[in-house]
Amino acid sequence: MSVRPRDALRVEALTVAFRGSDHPVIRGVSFEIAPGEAFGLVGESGSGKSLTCRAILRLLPRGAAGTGRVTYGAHSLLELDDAEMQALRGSTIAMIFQDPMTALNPVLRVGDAIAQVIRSHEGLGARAARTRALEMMERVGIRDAARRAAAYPHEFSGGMRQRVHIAMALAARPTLLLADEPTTALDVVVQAEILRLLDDLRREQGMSLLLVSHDFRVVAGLCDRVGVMYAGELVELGPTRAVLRRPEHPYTIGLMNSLPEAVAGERLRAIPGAPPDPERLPPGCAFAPRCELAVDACIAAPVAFSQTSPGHRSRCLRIDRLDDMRRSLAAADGA
Amino acid sequence: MLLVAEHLTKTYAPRRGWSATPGRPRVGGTVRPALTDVSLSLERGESVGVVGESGSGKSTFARCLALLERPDAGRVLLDGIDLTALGGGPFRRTRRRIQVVFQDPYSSLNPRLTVGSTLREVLLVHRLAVRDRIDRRVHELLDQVGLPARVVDRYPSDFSGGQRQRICIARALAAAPDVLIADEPVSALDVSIQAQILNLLADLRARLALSMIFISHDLHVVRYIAPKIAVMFGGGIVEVLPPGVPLESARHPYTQMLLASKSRLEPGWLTHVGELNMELSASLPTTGCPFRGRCPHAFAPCHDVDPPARPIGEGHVVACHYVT
Repeated sequence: MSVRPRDALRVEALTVAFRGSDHPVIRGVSFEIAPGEAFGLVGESGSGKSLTCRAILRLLPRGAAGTGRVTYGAHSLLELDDAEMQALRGSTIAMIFQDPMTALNPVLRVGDAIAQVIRSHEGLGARAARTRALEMMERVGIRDAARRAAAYPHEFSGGMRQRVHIAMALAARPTLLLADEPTTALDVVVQAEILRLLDDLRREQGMSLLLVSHDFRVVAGLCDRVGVMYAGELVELGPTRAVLRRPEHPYTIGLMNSLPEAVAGERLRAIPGAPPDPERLPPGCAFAPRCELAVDACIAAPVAFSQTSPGHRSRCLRIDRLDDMRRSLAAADGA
Repeated sequence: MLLVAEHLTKTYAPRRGWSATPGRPRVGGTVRPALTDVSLSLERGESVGVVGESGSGKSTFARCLALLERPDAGRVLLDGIDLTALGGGPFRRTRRRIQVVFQDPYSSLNPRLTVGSTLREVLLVHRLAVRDRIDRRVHELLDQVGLPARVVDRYPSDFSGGQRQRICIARALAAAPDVLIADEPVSALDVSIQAQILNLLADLRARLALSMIFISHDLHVVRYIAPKIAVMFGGGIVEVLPPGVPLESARHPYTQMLLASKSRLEPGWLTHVGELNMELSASLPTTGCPFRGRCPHAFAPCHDVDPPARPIGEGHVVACHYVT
């Protein structure tokens, strides 16, 4: 299996539905990740961001099927047969998960777990794989790797486990890494450490990164571009700097207004209500029922993307009325 | 003072047998205490925030304060009554006055009790409402946490995480507590729901003049709720920031490290965070300052002596050899 080391990932009109349901949980998601680029997907639980990752790797839960087009270089991922997909998975495209405890085999010593990945993907012998495993452990910041390789996952802290998980994911030198909430279970300082590690490894290896998080602050740290998902669809997409400086969708603004550090000193402007049930989506903008700016047109029919600045798009009919919602953000920004 | 914690210490016994982990942090053959000599006081109507990472002892502190866990040493005084010295009926009656809202609203509600029964049970057990007033009180509690009266006959499984946390808050309020301890009440929730619950807690605090201990790993969340902040690390309080002192005036190197993430909504903040200097070993040093392995300023005294807490300003307390 040879993939040119630097390829772009293109996701076009990706739709995921569960068998027996007429209501897809991912609705026509399209984005692109350039070679070496870090792209962030932000959204709350149930928004479909994790399913998007799984659909790309064809690891959807039983009963769910993805349609649309996903290409990585010359490969059309949704059309490969299982063996071809299996060959790409782990070696060219790797994924790390939120909870490293469930992602690691509890009865394998961590050194053996990493060596196993190297042996199966690179065909190295046991001794060479062990040496590489130790190198990988050191590379992800595990000191005294030779001693700690003999430990089991439960003997590691959450941050160290996530490092082991990253070492496993990167052992076969993938060119695209999908990271699903890799730091959510971790404390602020450890979170920064892991993110910096991912960023360093990405730069060193020229790897592309898809980083999924419910927390804007996580993607703000290292992503070049960001997409905001709500109820199974992308509602805003643009360069991270532009989206953070001037969010163009009420949901994005709401997410930021929900963070205490974004609205220094003021009362939080929480988004009222809760995300919709995918089986009972409103006919128009899915966010309209929670949106203070919604008008009849928002409720009537789906809202298409409109471009607000180069590369920055939003699905909102009320873009010219967002200034008031953004005001509290601007106040904190100036502080 | 409404609530005073004096020199609380708690050590969890190491597990024996084959599951015992070699290389666990030990002090002279024993494990490092989860809580070491922690003192804190709370006035009526005051809110104190406790911030720290996992393993800092903040949840153990909460559990000891609420006497869900008996501290090995130290006292918890509520209106001058030493809770640790009480037993039986007097203990149960007094402990009612300290209520806890836990992190996970999924595991902290009985799935087989309706919302109504959950709240009624509290009122009945503690005899807080006469029988014919109970339903009215239940509706009042639901209203206080922003839930409609019609939810009384529903079960926890019918609710989202944010709504469940509202039920947990209502259950705590049902006991008519003097002190509400909220232990990471929003960290299991989505960001937009977090803001709803934080606003609710802030409203309740103002409306019911609640005294609150609010625990979180997020300094900014803590500051939103509580004007006074205690920072915990390695089982002890390393800094107390009094009301009115801005976060930027924090002096302990650990608090400053937490603050390095101040502008995490800035694009590329990751590259601006200074040297994180993590001690990559999972264990904390067994002697001296628990933070010294990660501290950029650590020097000789930090290795030998656990720094005592000392005042450096009005109500501002720091436990650090380096800070002068």
